[in-house]
Amino acid sequence: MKRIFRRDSRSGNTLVLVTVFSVALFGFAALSIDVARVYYEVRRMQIATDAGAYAGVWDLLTSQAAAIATAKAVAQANGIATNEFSASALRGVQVGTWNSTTKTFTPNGTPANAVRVSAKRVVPLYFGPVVGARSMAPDIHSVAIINSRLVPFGTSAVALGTNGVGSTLAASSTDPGNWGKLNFGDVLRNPNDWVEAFTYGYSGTIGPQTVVNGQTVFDVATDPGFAHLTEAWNARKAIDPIVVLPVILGTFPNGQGNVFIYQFITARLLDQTAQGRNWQGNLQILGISGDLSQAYTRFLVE
Amino acid sequence: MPLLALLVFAIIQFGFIIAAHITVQQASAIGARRAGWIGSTNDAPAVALAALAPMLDPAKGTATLGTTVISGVGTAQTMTVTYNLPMILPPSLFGGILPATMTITKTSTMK
Repeated sequence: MKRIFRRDSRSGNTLVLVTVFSVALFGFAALSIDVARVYYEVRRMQIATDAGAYAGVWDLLTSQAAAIATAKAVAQANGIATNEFSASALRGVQVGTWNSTTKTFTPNGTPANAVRVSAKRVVPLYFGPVVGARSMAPDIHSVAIINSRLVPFGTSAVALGTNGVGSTLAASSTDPGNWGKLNFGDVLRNPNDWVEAFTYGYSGTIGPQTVVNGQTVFDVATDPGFAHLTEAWNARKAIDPIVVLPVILGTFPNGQGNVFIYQFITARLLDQTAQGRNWQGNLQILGISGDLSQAYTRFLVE
Repeated sequence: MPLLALLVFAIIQFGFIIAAHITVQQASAIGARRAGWIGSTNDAPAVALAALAPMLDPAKGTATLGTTVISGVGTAQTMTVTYNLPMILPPSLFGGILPATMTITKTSTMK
């Protein structure tokens, strides 16, 4: 009798357990569906913001307005809606400065070398409302930077002569007609600006284009003097010894004037072999091209 | 029990579908990047298909490279990847309502 009584007391236990665990199973199923969908949207947004930032940063070479317009358009072409830019707390597309040391982006900083695209998408949840969560709103951003090797210091077609890849050139203050500073974006107004442009590379517009003898060239102002070259050379060499130097038609004027840049040398900065009034720095030619784009590289950093 | 089993398989199937969506989207982005960023248009479709592995079978996908004009920006490269995902739940289970495969198509644009 006791055994029969015991068996009867357990009847229904399975039903209770199945009910409890089924509710839990349904709960986790709902959670996994909602979370998976949010992750999917995050991935789509990340691809779109990456594409926008990467495309936009290249247009910094034209203007900041062009960079912003391009970044937005390309991100939108990859599925970001207009209101998803404006919904973002980070305010859509921004141009600013990327600090490689601290790994931080500063909006509106100078020099402008980075574009950040951020977007926020409200993803409605199917099962979240059961627990009071109607939607999730992931905030995604991408930062792309442009790195320039173009320096505001050039050589002349005469100095380049027949030197080719692998040759070594000697830049010297005792040879002023063949070497000179260039005034990209008015960097010669302030010596610190010129040193900074040499050290970190110049990313802005370099001057109006014109045609000379059937050849498209950049019309750029120059100024005599080799002051601050020693410190700029050392600083640049410590960061990245590869630079892109403009080559001008003819020779540099004896004093202020304008020159025409017609091609560019990719070169490795070597040692400076003399200082002061007889300054001399050596460089090795790695490539010669009329294409300015060789001076720039762009990549995503966030 | 049948309902429970069905639910478990449905969850697994949903997981496969979401994973396939993410993988195909990522593959199209990789292909478009190859063409638009690196400028290598010849092998971009192959690169996109290779990016389907190991999650998906590249042989079941197709990749098409194209161009699009973005207003105010210019011409950009587009990569469209289409994949036929086989369902793990047999179509006969629901009287043929469910398809045997699900076609997933994703496009990415890069410049």
